[in-house]
Amino acid sequence: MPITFVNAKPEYTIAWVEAVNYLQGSTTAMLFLADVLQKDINVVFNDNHDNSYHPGSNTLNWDPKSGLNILQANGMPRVQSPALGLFHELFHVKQGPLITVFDETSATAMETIVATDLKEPIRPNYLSTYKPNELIKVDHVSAHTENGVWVKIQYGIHYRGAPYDPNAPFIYSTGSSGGGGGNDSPVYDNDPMGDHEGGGGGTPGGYWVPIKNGLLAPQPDSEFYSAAIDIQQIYSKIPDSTTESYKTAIELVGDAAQIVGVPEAATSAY
Amino acid sequence: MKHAFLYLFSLPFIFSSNNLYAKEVVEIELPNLDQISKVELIIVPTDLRTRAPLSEKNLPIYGCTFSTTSEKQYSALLSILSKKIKTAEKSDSFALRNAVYLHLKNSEVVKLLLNDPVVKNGDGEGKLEKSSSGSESIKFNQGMLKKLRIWAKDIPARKNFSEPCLQ
Repeated sequence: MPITFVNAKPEYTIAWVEAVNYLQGSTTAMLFLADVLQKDINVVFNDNHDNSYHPGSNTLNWDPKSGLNILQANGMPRVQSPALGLFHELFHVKQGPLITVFDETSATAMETIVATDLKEPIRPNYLSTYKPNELIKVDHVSAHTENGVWVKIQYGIHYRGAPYDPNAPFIYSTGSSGGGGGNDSPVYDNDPMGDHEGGGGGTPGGYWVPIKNGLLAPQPDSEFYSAAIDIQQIYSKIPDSTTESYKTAIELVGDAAQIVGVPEAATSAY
Repeated sequence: MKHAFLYLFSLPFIFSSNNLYAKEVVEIELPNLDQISKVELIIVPTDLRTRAPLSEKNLPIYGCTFSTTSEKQYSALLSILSKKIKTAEKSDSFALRNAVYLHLKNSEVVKLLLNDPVVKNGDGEGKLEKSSSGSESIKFNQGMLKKLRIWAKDIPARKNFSEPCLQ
């Protein structure tokens, strides 16, 4: 088996499948995944924001609920999804044990191509993160901000959430009191006792609203495997596509925002 | 070695278009041997990749921490540092990967925050931070990290240790 889930639990497996499904919304990612998911990888899930890859042990660590707070080129903080973080690390799997830490430049460049496809915000370079809260908990692998508003795609249904507040990323509620109630808001409450100003239950716009109805929720496993077969068929017809995309990213130097094919508008639209 | 001073005289003048700017000669001073109460070195495996750039907060999680209270080890460490570090133009764009913490007897901490050099055989970048006098950008010879790894091999007090830290 190419991929080994070292600490598989049902919720982790579902998160993985949902993330792969979500990433296939990007053609670049779809072709890339068809290749990289054939490799031997040890996947260790966690819930402590460890999103990393160790070439020596061929171990990919991934937190399915860890969003990345990035600083866009225009200085605005926005959030990328956990799924995009998985893609970032999978790109390192493809890279293998290269020499310098700034393999991160090419990984960020490829991440930017996929983020643009998925309408996620992009960081102008690897270091451009919003501190000190650069890693924040979200409630779904696809949860990210789009035009400053939380969105996610769960079982094929698009949801729109609350406006993103970079100054209070932790005070959205998942609790049953106040706000939208229920498990329906984008970011986990790190202040469940409500000690933080505005924390606890009643939060601004703590909700998810379906914005694309009429789709049946597919079973995650059947969705994944049928999609995987299709990808193989597509990929076999254009075998160099992934390689070319990879080379393109590798050859990029400088800010990811300067990638050919990423219009300037894309860097300021979010 | 009792004292470790680095005097930097590089680029005393910078010519720019029609203007002449005089650049101050900057001296970097590392603590004296007898000022130090403890040394910590954190080294992250060179091949580790992370989604987010590392910070001082998570450096000990991803890296190995070596600590010593031995004067002999202080001396060897200062010898490595004093021969390899220079001041640099101000830059906040380095990716933190390694750190040296010099804990002083007066409770001050002198920090050397270091990247891994991007270009093979190129200079590394980093920052020297003193709680008493702020921070300044530095650059260092790439060979310094190799020497730090050799130095760390003799340090028995280790946390979160894995062999890749020393490779």
